[in-house]
Amino acid sequence: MAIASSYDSTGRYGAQTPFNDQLAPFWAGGQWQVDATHNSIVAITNGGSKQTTARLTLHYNGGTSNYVIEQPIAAGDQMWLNFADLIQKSVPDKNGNKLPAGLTSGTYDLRDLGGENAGSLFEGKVALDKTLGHLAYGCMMCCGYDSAFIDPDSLAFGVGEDAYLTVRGHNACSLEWEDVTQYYDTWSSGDTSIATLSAATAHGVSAGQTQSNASGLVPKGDGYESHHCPREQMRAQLGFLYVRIPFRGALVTTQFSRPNACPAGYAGWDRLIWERVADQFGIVFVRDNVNIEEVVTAGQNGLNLPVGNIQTGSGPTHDAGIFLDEFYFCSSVCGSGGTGETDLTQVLFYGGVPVLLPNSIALRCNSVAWNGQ
Amino acid sequence: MMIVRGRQCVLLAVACMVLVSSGFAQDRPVFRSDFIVRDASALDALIRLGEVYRRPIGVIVTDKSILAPVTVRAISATIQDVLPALLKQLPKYRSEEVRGVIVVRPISPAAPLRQLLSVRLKEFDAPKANIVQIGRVLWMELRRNVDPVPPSGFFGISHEPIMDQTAIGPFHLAGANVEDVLSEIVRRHGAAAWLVLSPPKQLSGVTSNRLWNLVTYANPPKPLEKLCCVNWSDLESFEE
Repeated sequence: MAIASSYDSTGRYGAQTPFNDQLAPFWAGGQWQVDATHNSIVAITNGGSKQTTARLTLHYNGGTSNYVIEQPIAAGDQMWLNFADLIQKSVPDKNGNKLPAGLTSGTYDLRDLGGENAGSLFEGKVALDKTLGHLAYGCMMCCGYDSAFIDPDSLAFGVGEDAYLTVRGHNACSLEWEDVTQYYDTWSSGDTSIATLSAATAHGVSAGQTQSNASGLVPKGDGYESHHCPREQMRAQLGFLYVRIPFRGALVTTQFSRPNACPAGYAGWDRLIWERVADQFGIVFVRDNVNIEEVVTAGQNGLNLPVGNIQTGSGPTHDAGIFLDEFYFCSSVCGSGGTGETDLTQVLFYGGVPVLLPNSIALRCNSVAWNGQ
Repeated sequence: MMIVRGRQCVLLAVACMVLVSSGFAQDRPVFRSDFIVRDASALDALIRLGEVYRRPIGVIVTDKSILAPVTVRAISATIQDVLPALLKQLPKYRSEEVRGVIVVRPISPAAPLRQLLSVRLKEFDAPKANIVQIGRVLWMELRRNVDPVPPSGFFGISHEPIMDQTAIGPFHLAGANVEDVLSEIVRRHGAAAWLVLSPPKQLSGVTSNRLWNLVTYANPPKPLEKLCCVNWSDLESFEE
């Protein structure tokens, strides 16, 4: 810790300036004191080449209360804060909070909100002792990250779809998990035939499961080191990517199952079910407004239905992926008191993508069975 | 009352709006409502007209002009005020009222349309069912009339919600044509419309949803695409 000092000719009255000359995105551990004989003035300098925004947070009441100031600082410029003024003039912070009038001491930390450009701030403090005695000042400590993980740690998306990841880093001082994605510039997928991964964006290639990896140069300060705020290569704990495909229909409920309205001489059945499409992991798709269509082929045709000319339809998913599937028929076989069964295979198309397992439909005079249900 | 069409403002004197040519029945109580559509498709506007005034409507579509944007602003107007303002923006169409159903039809309907709507059914027996189901029975009867060999049955799959399970029927019609039956269905329902869009030249073997759609109104009114079922690709395939 460097300290610049200046005293009057008697050597009894003076000021000392402890300061850090390390550029960093996050500093913590500063102490301040304001009372009849002390004041603290903080100067925060943007040592980078681009404008950034500094956030200074004063902690008091044993760390239970905060006072937050955010201010843009041009490259090479400084932000000065006189803590005595903040208290005595009741200056509101960014959230409208004011420091209590009788407040005398606390701690503070400093954060660079400059995003990808973060890490350009350094801080110095003038601690003034208005009478004889020792000066009260503290050191700003570099706070970095000691671990990180890819968030979310498992992410499911479809073939051809993009999905977005972040990296959460564990702040060694605040012990909080924070978004540190801006430090991670190297991304890779465990199997690019399943999903590709770059710039925190995964892209589905084919059905399956693979890993997501990310690494980057991350500040490593531990809150005790005040002379260095180095960046080190850090690999985030890997995540998992699941590329989903429409795999099978999933019955939600049957709205009705009843005799169909048929012309004289015919009889039949009418069943309306609510259905969703599930992926290969058994997880249902919940997107709305995905168009559902189908191709139907016939097997045995005991009801003598015109299976070469089946009326099919299309309709959108709604209410978290639900679509309606109504099967209706009228048969002269049923109308004449006969019995029989017509079997059909329904291949659904979910947004144009075929659902891998087809539905089997069994039509009888008094029922419509869907996949045996 | 002021009706705005496109950039024009047309002042209509309510007292003068006796639609002799369209044959509106004059014995209904006069119902007035605001009717405001702005750059809506004419087909949407017609369905909304039926919804707002709770009048069954039939629309026979002959070309894409039915999708052209129209604008109508009518305050405290009757349906007899609004319909002409709409039809002024649809020069290829005319309207008539047939036993309480307003039918909007092309001035020069294409041959397949005439052929479909004029197929006469010797007997039509509607069971007690909702209008979608009766529409399917009508399709079955049509098949029995136009196919050389009566069908042994029919099977269909639909993904469209049945908005309204209200049962109408049973009813019997003798010697009615397809248009008559469609109008009878919506007349009995009271808050529904039928749409016929561009049927294929050959009716034999055609599925019912390629021939007509039966739409129940929503309250409050909704655009047609929210109501159900129109196969817009049929309209897209129209030749100019």
